[in-house]
Amino acid sequence: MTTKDYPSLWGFGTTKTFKIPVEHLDFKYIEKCSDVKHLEKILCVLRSGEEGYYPELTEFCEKRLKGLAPESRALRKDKPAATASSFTAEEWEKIDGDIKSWVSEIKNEENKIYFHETETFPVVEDNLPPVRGSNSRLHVSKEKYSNSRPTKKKIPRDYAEWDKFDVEKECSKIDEDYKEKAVINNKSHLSKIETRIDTAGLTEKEKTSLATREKEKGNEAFKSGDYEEAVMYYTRSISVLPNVVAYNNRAQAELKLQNWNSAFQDCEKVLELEPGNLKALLRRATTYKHQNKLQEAIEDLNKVLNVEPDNELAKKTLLEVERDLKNSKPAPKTETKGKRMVIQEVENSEDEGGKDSRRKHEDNSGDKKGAEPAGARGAAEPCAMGNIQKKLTGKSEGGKRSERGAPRRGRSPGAGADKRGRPRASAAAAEGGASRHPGGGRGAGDPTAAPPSPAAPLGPAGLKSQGNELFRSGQFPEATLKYSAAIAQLEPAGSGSADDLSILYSNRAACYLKEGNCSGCIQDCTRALELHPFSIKPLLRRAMAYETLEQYQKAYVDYKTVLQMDCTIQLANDSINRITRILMNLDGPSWREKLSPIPAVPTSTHLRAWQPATETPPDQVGDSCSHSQPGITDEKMFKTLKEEGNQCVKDKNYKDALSKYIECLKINNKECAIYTNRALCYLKLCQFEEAKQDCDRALEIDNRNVKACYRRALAHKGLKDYQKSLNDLNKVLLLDSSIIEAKMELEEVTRLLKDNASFNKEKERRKIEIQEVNEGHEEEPERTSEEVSSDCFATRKEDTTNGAPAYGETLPIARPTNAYEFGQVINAISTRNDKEACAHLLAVTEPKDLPVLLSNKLEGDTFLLLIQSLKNNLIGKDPSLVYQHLFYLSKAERFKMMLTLISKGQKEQIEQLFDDLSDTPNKHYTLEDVQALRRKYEL
Amino acid sequence: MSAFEKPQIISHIQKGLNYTVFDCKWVPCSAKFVTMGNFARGTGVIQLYEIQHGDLKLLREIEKAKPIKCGTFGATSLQQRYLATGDFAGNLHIWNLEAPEIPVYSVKGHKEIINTIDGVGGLGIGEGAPEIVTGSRDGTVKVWDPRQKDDPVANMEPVQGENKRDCWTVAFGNAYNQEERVVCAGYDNGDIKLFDLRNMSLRWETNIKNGVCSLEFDRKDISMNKLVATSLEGKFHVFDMRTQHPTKGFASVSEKAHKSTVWQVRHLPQNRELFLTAGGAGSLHLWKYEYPIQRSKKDSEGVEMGVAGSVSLLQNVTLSTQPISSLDWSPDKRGLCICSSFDQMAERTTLYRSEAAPHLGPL
Repeated sequence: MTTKDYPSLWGFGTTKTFKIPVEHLDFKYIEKCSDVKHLEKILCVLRSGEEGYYPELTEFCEKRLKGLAPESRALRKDKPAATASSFTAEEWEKIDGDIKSWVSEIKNEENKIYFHETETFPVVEDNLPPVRGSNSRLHVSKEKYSNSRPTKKKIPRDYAEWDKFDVEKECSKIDEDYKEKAVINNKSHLSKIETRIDTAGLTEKEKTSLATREKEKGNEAFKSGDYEEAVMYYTRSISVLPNVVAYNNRAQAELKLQNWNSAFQDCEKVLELEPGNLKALLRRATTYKHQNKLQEAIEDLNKVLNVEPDNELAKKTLLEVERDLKNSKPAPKTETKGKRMVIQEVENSEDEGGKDSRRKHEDNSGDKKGAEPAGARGAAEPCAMGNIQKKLTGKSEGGKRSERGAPRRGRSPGAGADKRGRPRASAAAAEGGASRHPGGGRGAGDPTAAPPSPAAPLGPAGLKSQGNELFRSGQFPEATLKYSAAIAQLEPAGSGSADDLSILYSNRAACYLKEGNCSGCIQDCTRALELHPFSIKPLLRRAMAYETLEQYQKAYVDYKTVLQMDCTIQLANDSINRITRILMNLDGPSWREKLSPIPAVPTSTHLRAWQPATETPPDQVGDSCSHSQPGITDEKMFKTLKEEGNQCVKDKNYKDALSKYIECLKINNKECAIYTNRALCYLKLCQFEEAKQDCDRALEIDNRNVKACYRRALAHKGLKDYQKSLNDLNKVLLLDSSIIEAKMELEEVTRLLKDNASFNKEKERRKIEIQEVNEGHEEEPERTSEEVSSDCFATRKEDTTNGAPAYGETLPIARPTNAYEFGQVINAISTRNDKEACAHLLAVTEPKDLPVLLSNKLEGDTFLLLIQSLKNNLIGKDPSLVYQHLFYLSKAERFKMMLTLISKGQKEQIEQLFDDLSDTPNKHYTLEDVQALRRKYEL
Repeated sequence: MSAFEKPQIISHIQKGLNYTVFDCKWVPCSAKFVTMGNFARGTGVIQLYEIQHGDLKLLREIEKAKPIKCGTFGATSLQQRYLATGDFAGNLHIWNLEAPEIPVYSVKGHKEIINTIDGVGGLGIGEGAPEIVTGSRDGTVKVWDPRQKDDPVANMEPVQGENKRDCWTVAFGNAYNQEERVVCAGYDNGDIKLFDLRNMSLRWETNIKNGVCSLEFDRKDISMNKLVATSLEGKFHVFDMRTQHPTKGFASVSEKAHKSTVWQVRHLPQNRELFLTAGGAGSLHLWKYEYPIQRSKKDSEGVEMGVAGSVSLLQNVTLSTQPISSLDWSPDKRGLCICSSFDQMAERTTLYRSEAAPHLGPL
């Protein structure tokens, strides 16, 4: 190689060569000029000094160019390498010190390794693969090629290799090779990477460097988005030397791949090796979040925030989780309302002096069961059971309610026989819907937490238990009335019944809190506290009410007081954390000074601390005792029950698992996982109807739950309702196209559907109808009104079956909250090319969120889809929204890139859209705005 | 902190030498490096330096009969650290620097000067056997296994009668498991050829119009990811080697880097997306490769094809007026590198050490 110095392109530039008019070398011209190429040329001329030396103009030109094209090559200047003089003494000391310390470090290591030099290296030789083509070097060395046609030759194998010859593998390899000619798969190498590295004969130093190297490879693969490859390299790194960083990074890669479970395990591993590792905690929180273990996620996130209060990611995730938690609450509530009304109609139709008999019944059960308030409910339900189960099939509420109640039948002896219970039954059924209120489960425990005292007069006690009942079933206004009545009766009794009054006030406060009547709640709590100072529940409720009213200081004081009595109350702990942050934001560092003094709690009241959960073994937890457990222990019990249930499932003991899950649901009926798990049990026990209902329920809580959807498909299949099964499976695949089981089921169901084609759907539906009516007659011969209603439900059901396929086909579009959700929806939409759905999505999305939601995932087809749906569906309805969307779309990350990639036809579409936009003037934007935007779209 | 806004290239130690330096290489796991070149009297020289107290100390000077053009530690174990060299007479030698009198391995591999050498399978980098590849002016590219005397294990040469092209650069890659391995060779006419050693086939070839001065895969020991090729007229090309289209080959992005020939390209061993190019006018440019959102897409017929990313210049400096002939990153200290240049006259060669700022990109 010889040194040839090629003349530079710019070096000899003159005005003649560039043909620039001399007047362009002018401040005004340069200021206006936006042609980068032209500016580059001007700069070049200026620098060359051809037309004279104008340092200021040159500098001005550089600035202008920098503003237009910061990456311009003309701006690259030769400069000498930095030396000690380019830095401050301090910086240089750092740089120099860094090198010096490395030098001494590496020398030490070198001495360590090469002290034993000769002893170690023969081992290495043994590990090496054979010399390439050692038996055939003559052939190989004659390997030739030409520019036009390369010759190809395989190396003949040596004998050792023939021993390992695997015919099938070789055949498939040939197949692979064949395929490779057409398409060279860029993922194929993944399977060929060994996940373990043979480290025999390596020194520690070599192992460390090997592990580090593999980890670095993982990091690089991760950064370029090859997450599977990254996982592979981290695994290799771990196989050499298990290390925290590799585990932690692998967890991150698994998160990206949405392998929540593997990620979780890696996080656990890290936390085992290094407890309190923040990254691992954060990542575990993410896995929890996605596995719907929101409470655990919050715990982890709080741990992170305790150490690093400014951790942005943790804050963000916490907000998301809290929102999820909230969302999972109100969602079912609103839906229940509608359904409850339907059932209430039934109640009205048979309300023959229901109130009297209800009270009688209440007394009766009170006699029989003493102070067990839940007994009343248990007694009432079984009668309802028969009716409702027949009446309500499909997605109706009552069915589920009754089935949840079913096991209770066994535990409330003699209750089923009570005929007077029937009027209540419908009420119970009606409340059944309401009790789905997510807070209901936990909240329900509270009013009954204090068992009615036998000394209290019967009236108030009865009223109270009725109130508790109503509260538990979510009918808060009614419960409030009952409590008020009870209070009115007790008030004159004076100090003798102070305790009971306090409880009543406290319970009414709970009702108010649920209703959102915060001031009422605060009043009642204050009264309850006057009667009985330092009791936890009123304090907690008042704190919550204060917090809702944004009186954070008062809320803080109350929570603190609660924590003085019982520091294990998670709710209070979490709230304190939350409020502390809020107060710090509001009042700055001196926020504590603004607090009113926190009352000191006399030690005697500590005895009111709640019973620890361990006192009641979970197995024996019946209705009453589970309800008498306060919320926190409920949670613990919920967990243990759930785990036991899961264990039972693992042991294939589905019946026991079923009962565990049912217990779980009594404590907390808002957790999606329990429903899906119970559905699994039902499926295994071939109780498809119940399974289906559970899945419905789970899907109401979490609309995108793949498991629930899949299991409902199985249940539908079991019920021979193949069309619905098909719909569900399609939905599953829409949510996650990688589920192989779903694909297989889909095939099978499609086949079954074809086979069943002769069996008309309508026929099937009628058959079920008849069955229902028949059953109704058998069990409830005397109830004619029931028949009517069951008929009416049958027609209802017809509606739903007709509606169901349509439901399966339209995408449920909610307002996306993060880029992931948005991406999912967009993907689903673009696979169906459903512009209407896209328009809907755009209509519900805030335009200014668009860049965030799109993140860096803006692709050609997405872009086109957005444009098309704006053009076709939205421009007529809301041109200002279209403008906003277009405006923010142009701020999306990959927008510029997109513009270079779109075709002419697509550009025309955008052009049309802009034309439409300028034709429909609006006060939200002017024509100039549209023009400016048009320029952004390079039109 | 203005100095640290972007990575800096800092000159630490410079030293003038009394011979022409063709190549320099760090000794793995140490603060030492070797320089190779020729004395004015026409003999070859290998010098071993060590950084001591902020200066360079010459530990050993070995004089050999023929000028030494290139060298590598790529095929040796960390424990042995033998240096493989190619000289002007076409000899491949492997030296034990502790006992350099007689080579550990010696073969007359080529008829003419060995321009370039690369090694793989040693130092824990790359799976499989340790192998050395040499490229020579005689137009052949030969792969050697130090365990086999006298003959190469693979030989890639033009068919008889065809013009022999001067091979200027070779590079190993794709050594992610025991079987897979490729050699990429660049020639004076702008040809780049990719040989698959597993199948013993020519997998891909292209021409970049100007002589190929330097080739390097971003990593040797992963499934081919990126390949950088620098050329005589001041451009370099980055190929995305993950997706090969049956007719279009690999996607690439090119960038005009220097005002004259780009003699060398070297990827940072600790971060494959960063690489340094050394230009004819004594300039060093530090680049960062950024991936496109999707690295492959389907063409009109539904066949996968790669999508090239983009490169951005992080820093550029000029070290001397004369070309930088060689460049090597320290495998042990992130951001530390040596480079040698022909300064003013061939006899007075200066050695630079440069370092990119301590925080060179993330990770």
